[in-house]
Amino acid sequence: MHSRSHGLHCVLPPMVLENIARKGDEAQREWATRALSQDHSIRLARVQNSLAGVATSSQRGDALVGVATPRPARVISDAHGTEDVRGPIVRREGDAPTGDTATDEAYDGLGDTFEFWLSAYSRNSIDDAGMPLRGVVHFGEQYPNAFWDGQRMVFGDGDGDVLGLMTGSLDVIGHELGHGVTEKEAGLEYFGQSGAMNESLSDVWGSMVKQYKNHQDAASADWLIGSEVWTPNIAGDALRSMKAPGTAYDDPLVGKDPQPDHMDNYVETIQDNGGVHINSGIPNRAFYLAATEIGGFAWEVSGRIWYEALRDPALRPDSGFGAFARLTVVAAERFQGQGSPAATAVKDAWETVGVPTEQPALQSLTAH
Amino acid sequence: MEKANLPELLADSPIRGQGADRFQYHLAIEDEGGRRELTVSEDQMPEALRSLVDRVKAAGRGA
Repeated sequence: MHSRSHGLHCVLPPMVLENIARKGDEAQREWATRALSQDHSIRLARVQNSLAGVATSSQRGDALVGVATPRPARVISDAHGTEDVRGPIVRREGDAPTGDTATDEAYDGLGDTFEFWLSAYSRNSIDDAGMPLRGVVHFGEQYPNAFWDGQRMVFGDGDGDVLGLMTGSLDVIGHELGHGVTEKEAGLEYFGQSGAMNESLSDVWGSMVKQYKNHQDAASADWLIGSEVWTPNIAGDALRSMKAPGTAYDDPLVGKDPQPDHMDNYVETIQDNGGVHINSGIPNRAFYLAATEIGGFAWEVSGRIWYEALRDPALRPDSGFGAFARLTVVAAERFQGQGSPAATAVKDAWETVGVPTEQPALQSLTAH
Repeated sequence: MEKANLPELLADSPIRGQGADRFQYHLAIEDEGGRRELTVSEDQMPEALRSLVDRVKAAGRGA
């Protein structure tokens, strides 16, 4: 976890800023929200100063002198076709490219993801405390997958016939590291509806990492996850489509994209941890609808709303779509104002996919 | 099949893994005891079961 446990040295306590962000007029809410974001970075800098022995007293000048901008700490290991994730390190932070495609793509992708989180949300790595970004390449034998194991991102090479190198997809990399962020913030259980929400959030983060890297606004983004992963042998655009769940692929060998785009088609299954990769299509589409309705760069408003909802202490590990949706509305109203176009867009997006945003009477927050 | 100690695994099914986006294996076992189904994450699969799964996969490829 990050530095909230350290002593604070500010004149204005964060609760004051939070109240202004919640109750002020539009201009007040805007500056208070920005101040809270910057404030977090400053607190982190003060903690770093303190730990480094840098002077923090006003008598000794600016408390932030000597603080470096957070930098990634990337470590890439090579499993050499085995399933040992503790293989030899082949590239560390600052090392020159190795010439191995998987190694260098993983290194670049981890760096791009770090840059996104820092620039968009002032978040210093996955845990907001400078956690090293570890990647393992060449995992397994023709292993057709990539995953987050709780500490590192692991990439298979694919079989070359159906799936190619996993390192070639920036949104996949952003997706997997995004699991680490979700784990640190809310610990959404990886099963059922909370698991599908976990998966959706990773698609949101992954898509925004790609959009940020390519400087794309919501209107021009493709909203596809893993568009580089299928080989030309497969009739498919991507692994998933946030814009049109259920349309990413339709192939005689791998089947048809099973994702629903509305709660009416929610899939009840015991497979896939209760359909976490299937039912994520519903909140995925909600984010796509909100982001495109709000417009601009997705990470600036809609992404921020989703991020603040993730960080809301009211989000529980077993929270489902409804609970998360309600928190996005709360975040939108706090960030943009009650009745604002953004808050309305968020409500409409969830309603469109069949997830109510009104608090149900006498029902669990984990209900559908 | 015996080495895989299926009865114990079936009792614990579904066996979920660590992290996210791991492969899951769904095994359907039919014998004189009827049909039973086992779900296990790839990272939680005992070595004996992994051997069984590898043999089944190889058979599917016609190897």
